[in-house]
Amino acid sequence: MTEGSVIASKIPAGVASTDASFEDFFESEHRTLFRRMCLITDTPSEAEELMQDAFMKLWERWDRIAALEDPTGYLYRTAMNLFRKRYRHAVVAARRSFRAEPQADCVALVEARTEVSEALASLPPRQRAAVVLTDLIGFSSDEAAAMLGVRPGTIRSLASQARSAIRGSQKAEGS
Amino acid sequence: MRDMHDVLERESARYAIRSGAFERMSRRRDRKQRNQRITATIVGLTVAIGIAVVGSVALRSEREPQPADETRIIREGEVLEFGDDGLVATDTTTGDQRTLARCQDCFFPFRKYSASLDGRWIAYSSITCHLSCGDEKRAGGIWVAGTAGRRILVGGSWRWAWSPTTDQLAFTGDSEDGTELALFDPASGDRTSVVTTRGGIPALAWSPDGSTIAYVANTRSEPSRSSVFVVRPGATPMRITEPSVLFSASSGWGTLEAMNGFDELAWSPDGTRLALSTTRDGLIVIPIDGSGERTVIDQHPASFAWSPDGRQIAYGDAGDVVIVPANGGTPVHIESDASSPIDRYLAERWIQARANWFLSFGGGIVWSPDGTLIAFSEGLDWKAVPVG
Repeated sequence: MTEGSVIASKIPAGVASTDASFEDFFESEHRTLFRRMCLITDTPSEAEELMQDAFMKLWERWDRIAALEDPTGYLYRTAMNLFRKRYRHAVVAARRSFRAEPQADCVALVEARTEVSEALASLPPRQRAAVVLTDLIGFSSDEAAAMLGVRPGTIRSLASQARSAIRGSQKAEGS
Repeated sequence: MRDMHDVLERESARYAIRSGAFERMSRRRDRKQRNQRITATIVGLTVAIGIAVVGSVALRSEREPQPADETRIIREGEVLEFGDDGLVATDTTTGDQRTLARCQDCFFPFRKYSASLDGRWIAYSSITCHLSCGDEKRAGGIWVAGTAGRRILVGGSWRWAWSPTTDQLAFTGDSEDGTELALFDPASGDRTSVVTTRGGIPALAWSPDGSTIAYVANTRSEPSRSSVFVVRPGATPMRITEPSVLFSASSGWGTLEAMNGFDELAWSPDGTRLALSTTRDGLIVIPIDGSGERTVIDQHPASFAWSPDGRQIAYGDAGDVVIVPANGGTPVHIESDASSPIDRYLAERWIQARANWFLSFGGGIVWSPDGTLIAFSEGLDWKAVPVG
């Protein structure tokens, strides 16, 4: 099994066939990627930007990437690379200025925040990314570590901290 | 764990994207392409001037006109690359491609490939292909090919490098006593053992003058620890670092990053130092005289490259290019937004002195010979940023 197909097996959404057009690929994958990135960024406008950027990078060479066994795996890795870059820039920018309010007009939340979503929102971005990559999408610690540029032990630690916070919020919601 | 998956899945389902996402992305792409065209013009001029004034002399001397030579598998004006029909020799002027090794329907079998100094031979590593798409399907390993045919050297190994001065290939393979570092002369078919270790040899690199091979090996007494050695073929290896746990067991060699295939061990251009990318200690620079290594950055870069003057090291970080002094210091980020597309064959020419891996996810990095540009691969394309 190639590394691409290893990744593909972790992605719940349907894997695009290699001869599908880019627009078809976008249509089949963009909602799932957007939702995953919403959880990781906690900012829907930012999630859509990351989603767009990831797809744009694939679009530039779609003639070659469509021939890959697993364009979906490539898409997720690209999105996570972009997230890493943006997160690092955000840390730098935060030292200089306050964070701009998210633009709520480009997306719609279907429900108000729950205790769980509040707990997720309160987590540092790396913790959110670690728990989403491992527990939701199903990447191994090694794979998630490669995507976020940290050690596997760090991923396990980050995900564990995130789980504790989410479980705590579930108890609060139940009480 | 399943509970957590369900909780996150429910949270994820709360988000819905507005319709028209594709149109919004298309408009953004148009704006971005317009801006890139402007930047490309500026960088293109820089490249042209740099090559004309500084690089052309060096490139001409490296690629002096040669008479037609049917013993060369890679001919004058061709580059070895992964093409639409497998591993191909591409004429950089006409774009014509000659297929050298084929696996038509599967993108991944050829993981590393490189031509020898004069193009008489190529070596490539292939994985065992489980698809019925070519004649490589049952034979993963190191292959060496010339105009007269090809042969498999060892199965399963990715660790090899052409000498920068001769046609000899240094490679690693399993032996009865552990792992063997050996030389292969494709013209005669002779194999010469250099050293055998009980553990593994996860990285090797030729010195720029072709006299010495540096390698990382697990120590005999402490298998979990690794040391860096240098050896002149025919002489006794010399250890230049104390045994250390350089690589974590769960993310050591063979991870996704390592499988992407970049240089993990590289000599400085003057042959006095080695840079080693480790998962435990980050990027370390090791003087060959044994005067003690220094950690340059504490993270594990997916790829890195020495500057031509040996004073700096560039590496990729989340899409940006970062430059750090080779003797330690503050890293300087160069925003990827400052980059512009660059002719991939130009970057290939720059990178030809290094093992030329197939970059399945991008991330390769190389300096221009005059040190004014750093090229990096992004996806399947190459881009460049100006330095200074």
